[in-house]
Amino acid sequence: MEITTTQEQGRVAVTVFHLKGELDAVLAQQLRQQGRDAITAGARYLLLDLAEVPYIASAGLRAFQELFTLLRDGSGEKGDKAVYEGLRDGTYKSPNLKLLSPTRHALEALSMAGFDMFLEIQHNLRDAVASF
Amino acid sequence: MPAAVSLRISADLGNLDDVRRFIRENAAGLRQDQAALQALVQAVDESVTNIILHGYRGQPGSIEITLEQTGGCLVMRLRDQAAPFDPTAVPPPDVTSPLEQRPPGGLGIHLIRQMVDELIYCPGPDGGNELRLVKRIGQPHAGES
Repeated sequence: MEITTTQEQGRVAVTVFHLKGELDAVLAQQLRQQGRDAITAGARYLLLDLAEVPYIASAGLRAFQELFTLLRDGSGEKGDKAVYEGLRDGTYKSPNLKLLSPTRHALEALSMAGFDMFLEIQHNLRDAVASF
Repeated sequence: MPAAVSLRISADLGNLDDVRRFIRENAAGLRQDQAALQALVQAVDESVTNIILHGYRGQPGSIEITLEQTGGCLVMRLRDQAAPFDPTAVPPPDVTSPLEQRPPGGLGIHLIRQMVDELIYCPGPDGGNELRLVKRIGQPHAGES
């Protein structure tokens, strides 16, 4: 299992993590660490490419949650009334963290955990980068 | 398949790969139903992860996984010698609350409950824990009984 990083330029600079392998508790630790490092280094927009992730454990979902929170805390949006209401009503999607091409199993895990309510799912790289 | 097959691993997250492979290779009754097989793999992976992280908490130990097909069910027994811990007593998380307001923990057991038909905990006879996961299957396919 491995995570490679590329940088893409749309309206904003987007950091793309290409994950390969089963996202279990081991790869989740690696994802958390690489995510923290990228955010510390200045990344504000993160796209997780899940096309080659046949399996996501709850530890992987927790890693998404941590990156979501770190990016949101750094975005200056916190406290905004409209965002809070969107979160409460399920109409808010993170502008900072998005997912690319999840497999069928990954989609099921995201849905079962209720994470698809907050994370936008894109299906090709160009559109995903342009969406930030 | 044989009456029962077992795998013993040390309590190390690096062994999760072997656990998933063991289930995929031995859950013969689910070979024709990939979604059910994947659900079973996830349920066992989540359970073993919980034992390693929350049972043994970094201490050395072992986990024995036994897979048995009885009638129309696949039964997995996970035995460990960690401190007594009943995962079935963990309250389910609120999966509809805002992501950043959700407390950590409980998500793994939430997924396990959705992916198996029965989840039974009992303290081990000599200490430790036994967790039994039951997945109902259809009639055995020809050549797989």
